[in-house]
Amino acid sequence: MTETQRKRRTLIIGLAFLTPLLIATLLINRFYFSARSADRMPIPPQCRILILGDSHVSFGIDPAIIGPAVNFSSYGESYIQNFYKLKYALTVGRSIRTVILPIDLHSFSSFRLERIGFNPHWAAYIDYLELGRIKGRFPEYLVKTIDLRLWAYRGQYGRLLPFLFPSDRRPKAIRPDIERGFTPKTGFFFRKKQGRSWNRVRRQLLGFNHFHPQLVLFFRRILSLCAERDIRVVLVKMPITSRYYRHAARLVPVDDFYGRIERIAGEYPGVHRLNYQAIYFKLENWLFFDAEHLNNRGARHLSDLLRKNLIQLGLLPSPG
Amino acid sequence: MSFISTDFLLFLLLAVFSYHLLPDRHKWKHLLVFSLFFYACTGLRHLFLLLVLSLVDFLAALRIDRSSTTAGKHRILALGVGLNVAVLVVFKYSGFLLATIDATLGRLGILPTIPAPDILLPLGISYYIFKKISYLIDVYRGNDPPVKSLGRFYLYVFYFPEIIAGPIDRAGRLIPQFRQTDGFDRDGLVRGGQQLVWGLFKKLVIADRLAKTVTVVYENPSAYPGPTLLLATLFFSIQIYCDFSGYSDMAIGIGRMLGHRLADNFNRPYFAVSVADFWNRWHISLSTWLRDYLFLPISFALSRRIKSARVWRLRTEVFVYLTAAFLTMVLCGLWHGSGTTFLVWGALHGLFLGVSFLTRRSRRRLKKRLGIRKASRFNHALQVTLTFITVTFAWIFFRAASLADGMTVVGRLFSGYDGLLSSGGLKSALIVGDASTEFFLSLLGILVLMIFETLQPRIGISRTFRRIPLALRWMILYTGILFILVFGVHDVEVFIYELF
Repeated sequence: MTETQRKRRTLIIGLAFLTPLLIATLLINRFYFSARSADRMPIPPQCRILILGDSHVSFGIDPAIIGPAVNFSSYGESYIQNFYKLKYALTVGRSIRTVILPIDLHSFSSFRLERIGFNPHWAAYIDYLELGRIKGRFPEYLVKTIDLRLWAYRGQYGRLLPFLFPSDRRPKAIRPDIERGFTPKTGFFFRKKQGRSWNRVRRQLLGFNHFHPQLVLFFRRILSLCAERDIRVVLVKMPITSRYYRHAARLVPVDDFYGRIERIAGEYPGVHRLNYQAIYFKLENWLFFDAEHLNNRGARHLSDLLRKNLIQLGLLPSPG
Repeated sequence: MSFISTDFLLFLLLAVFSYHLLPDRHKWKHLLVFSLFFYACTGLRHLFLLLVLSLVDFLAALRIDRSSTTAGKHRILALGVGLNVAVLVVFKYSGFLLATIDATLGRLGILPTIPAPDILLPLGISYYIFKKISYLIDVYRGNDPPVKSLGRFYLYVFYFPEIIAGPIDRAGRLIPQFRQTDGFDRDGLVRGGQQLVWGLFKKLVIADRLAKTVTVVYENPSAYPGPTLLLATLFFSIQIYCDFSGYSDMAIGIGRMLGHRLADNFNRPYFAVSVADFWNRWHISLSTWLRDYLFLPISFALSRRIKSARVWRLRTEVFVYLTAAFLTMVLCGLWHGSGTTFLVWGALHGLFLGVSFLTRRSRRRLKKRLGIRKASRFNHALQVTLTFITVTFAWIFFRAASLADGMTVVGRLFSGYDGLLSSGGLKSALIVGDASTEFFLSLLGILVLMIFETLQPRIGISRTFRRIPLALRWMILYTGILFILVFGVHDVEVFIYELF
């Protein structure tokens, strides 16, 4: 046998060895994602209102009070994840007519960018290759995409085993306290937590670009996608505590910040604004569980108010 | 680019595939390009630095060879070695030295505070500096001719399987392999791949899982009782072995896939029957380097200088051995890092070697009196156990964040065993946190390792593996690879020895 023939034969054997391995790892990865989809939010086809955002929204808006809505927000998400989740949601929920989006003082902070990870949960939505091109880090994102598509399950035996060996003792993947994306929180904003307000503000705003161009870009993409599909957007300033606001206002020029958002929003049709930022300043001890997140009482109150405002805006039918 | 990242896997696939497609005469150039790219990924500044330094070494070796006088050769060698050592000191030890000077002067109130230098340690510096020093000395001694091709010398220095953490291969052994054209080695490709998978198993399934317990305990040793500290220390002993030998297996396996035989780095070190034997089996490429370029030159220099028959009541050759061994081990400790913990670790090994050498006769007599035969299995097991305990004890200082932490571990190691047999006592002592699955996976990993290491010399696992039917062999490999993927710890991409 000549050397070329030996090489060719080795290549064929090598491919024959690697192919089943590749298929196996792709299948496990698929299984892993389907296992994880148990904690992914299903979007019913009759859903009319899609609620996007971060933990402020996830803890603060109860879609069950609003009506045909799904709270699709999740902890730590920025406009980047919001955009890709919206794209995904629009392919599933064809009757979505309204999108609710928060515009908080930290919404455009570059702090949010640092938290964009290669999370298998987000991999279901995010186009990492596109994101890599936008961020100018295409090779890194390409490799990470391969990572996610091939073996996002690496080291995740804890998540795979419960599906192979179901048992009542094992934790369920889906959290029973989450309903349609809303995560109710108990607790109150009392003295100990009040003292931590500055820490929370500092973590999100100190030393960061408060109006990062990449987040602006994705904010625009959300508005533009909604305009294309004739979907109304409701920009909501979510409630925060007075302490949080006071500290944040020391770092962010509030008027200029919202002026810039206004100018951007003004370029797109069908954009509404609702301002709840200061409505609970006097009730903050009872309606928040920390400096910036509503507890379940606050969430109930806000959701009720939001429902009424949506009716007034004509985005929800009047009950009468 | 870490050996355990997807980037590296893609890089390796491309490197190996294209390597075997090329004609033999171009293969070394191809490897050089890939090796330079690999190192460039760590930073272009360091690449440039290493290129310049290697050029100096290349020229120095040629000058040594051409120099007609011994004094001339000696001068160039001293300059070359001095430059390499100086670079190592600047990058690796300047922070430690300045901090020590600063602390000393500060205590005396003499000078204002010296700012700590902001120097980033180039990846693999300890390894390639040692490679280059050995090359210069070997040319000086006439053991090897100087390399005439700068490209091949660069490949020797930058060779990507070795540059991060060795093995510290000698030029005389590695460079000729770049020239050899033995044709396509399919067996090497397959066996190299298998060794790579075994290395991954050791690193990801065993070492990194054990590291979880070790890190938690050693971060705050005063918070844990003796049994937990003992367990963490034993775990570290296995962790560092699996981490480093796992890396070495991967490096050697990759070399094998490229048709090269790299130096062996480990030979079942925890089966050593003495500390000296341990050093014949642990990080072999470093220990032989230390023997050839440090221990023997120190011994010869001392022997030449000491004219009397006895020094401090010891025979001169015993004194020379003890001094050279101690100095070598202290320097070995310092090679690992600039902290006092490494110094103590090295000194302990020097001490163990000395005590072992001095007590060899009395131990033999004691065993004779107790009726323990030298060739008996009991004697072997006893020696292996005692060596393991000794070596593991020294690891405490290697792992501890500071000397004080090391002393805390030693001080608390034998206390807190009272409630061990009470209900839940054993569990709370052995399982750090609430991850009992992690603990049992750790034990499973250690068990697999022990079976492998015990069987290896008896049945030759790789030989036996090749004899079993192909389908079964593939099934075992598939299971192994998928096991690594599912049960490995994939959030750490650093090897312990990469940091030295």
